[in-house]
Amino acid sequence: MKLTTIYSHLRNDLSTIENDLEKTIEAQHSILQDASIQLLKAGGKRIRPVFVLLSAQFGKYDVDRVKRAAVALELIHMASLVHDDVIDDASLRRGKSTIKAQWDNRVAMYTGDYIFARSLEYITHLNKLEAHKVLSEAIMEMCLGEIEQIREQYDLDQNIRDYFRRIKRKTALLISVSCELGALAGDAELHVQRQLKQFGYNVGMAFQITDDILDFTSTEKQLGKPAGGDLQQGNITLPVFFAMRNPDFKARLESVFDNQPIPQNVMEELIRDIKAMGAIENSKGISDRYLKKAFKALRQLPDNRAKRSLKQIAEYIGRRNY
Amino acid sequence: MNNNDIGRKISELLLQINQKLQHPYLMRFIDEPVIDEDKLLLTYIMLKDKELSEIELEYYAVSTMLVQVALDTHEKITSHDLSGEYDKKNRQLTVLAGDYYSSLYYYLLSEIKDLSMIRTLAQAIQEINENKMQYYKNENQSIENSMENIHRIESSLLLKTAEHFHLPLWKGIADEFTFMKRMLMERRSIQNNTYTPLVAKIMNQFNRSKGGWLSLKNQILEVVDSYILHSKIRLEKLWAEEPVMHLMLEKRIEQYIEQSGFRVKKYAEEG
Repeated sequence: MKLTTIYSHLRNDLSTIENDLEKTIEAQHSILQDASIQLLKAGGKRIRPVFVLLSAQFGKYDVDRVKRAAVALELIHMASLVHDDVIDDASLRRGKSTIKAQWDNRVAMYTGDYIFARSLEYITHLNKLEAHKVLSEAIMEMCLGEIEQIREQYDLDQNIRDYFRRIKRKTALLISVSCELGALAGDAELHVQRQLKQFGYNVGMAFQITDDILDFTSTEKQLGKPAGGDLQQGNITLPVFFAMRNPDFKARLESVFDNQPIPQNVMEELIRDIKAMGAIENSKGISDRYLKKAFKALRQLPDNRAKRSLKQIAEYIGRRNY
Repeated sequence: MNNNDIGRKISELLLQINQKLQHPYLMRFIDEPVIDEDKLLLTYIMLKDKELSEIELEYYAVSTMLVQVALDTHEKITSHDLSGEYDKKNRQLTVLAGDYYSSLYYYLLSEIKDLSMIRTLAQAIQEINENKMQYYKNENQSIENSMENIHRIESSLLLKTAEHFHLPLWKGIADEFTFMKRMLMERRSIQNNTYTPLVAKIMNQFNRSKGGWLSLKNQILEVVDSYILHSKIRLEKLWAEEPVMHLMLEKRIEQYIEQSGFRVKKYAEEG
């Protein structure tokens, strides 16, 4: 089943979200407007708004209220992508030209800052003080996480706990906050909010681990960039941690990192070794453990259609192959 | 509150802001963030006009300055290719530092539960980025439009804050003070033969085939001086309505005038 099929019953509300996304990023300057629209049209799964909408259905669902969190979270995510492309010096995202490539870094910085400010303005109309505390802390943590990621690049002596903390900040936090804010915006009961937050966190961890696996198992066509891109940038992800249990692999990686960039043929060998050492299966095992915890959190929630959709989304994340 | 008290308070606030900006790893690679002390002073003095508690005043002044530092940090991002590892890391971490400082303002204002101020500062950021984009990308815009962009880029943050707290007089002061300071800085750069984006924009409007750099430089200075003079006159009028609190600001602007070589008398005689 496709992801969009799972939440097809949200079609109308997602279209409200899409309209608001478009309205919110309207800008007077044509390049600012074009850059923002390009970003919006590049698509994406809109997974964060979906989590917000579904979580809000555990309370008093009012799309006009809930959309404040859904739209803002997607915009925050979009703004961070624009700046990430400057950080990674990336010309392509999802196979399409990035803002920094189409215009330049300066335009990307202005666009990211503009979209981020629009998102904050938009969400201030959600008059829930607790929501702002949660979101502002999460954004701060996300920034710190990205700084840590750069600090830990090419560091082969880092601990696997560093990796989990990094992906928590990088991905799981915003998904967890999407669920929590949805529940908050819908005035769901406190214990429901907590379980949804837990669900989001665990799904987010599984999502990122799966992403890190796919970076080694997918084709360039599927990824929209060459396989092994994370390793090329010095990012040590879970499959690499498992592969590094073999001292020879670790020593080899050490010498490869001394001569960057990693040539294509060497990268292919490394990927082959990672796969041969069972690192992919081990990583999948960890991802499954997070998914199990996500399902456990879901079991504490009242039965409804939203719960079934959340479960299907989590299952989808567990088996997606690109 | 006398000037000494204000000076002491500004030093305290600078310390507070600096503590928030410090991040050991960032500091190893990025340029030391610069806090615009004049904007801090302006923010503090104008908020002093409202009956705010000292804590509230601190939160607002610190948040506003964090936004300014965040924007200034991102302004350092260039577009040319980099080859050295250190330079690459500097750029990456400069992007993240700006994002981090920006997140701090939202976090601080969430702490004091002030959603409307979050909104106000967010609107200011939007306006500034719209104007930066116009200034950066519209190469052939008129001098007047470029100057309007500079006005907004320099003052929107304080202007929106003044609006938020219903301080119409300070709105005008903030607008003219920040613009005049920027123009005086530009003047100084031109005097030192630095080719700034403003120089390029003014030159675009001239017939470049006539005369050498010296004659061109004088023409550019003439344009800049006319805007400085206009701002100075406006500022003096506004200061007359605010006889006490502006004295420190007046002193600051006199220093910038001195450093820039701007002379009212000379300009008036020639003009």
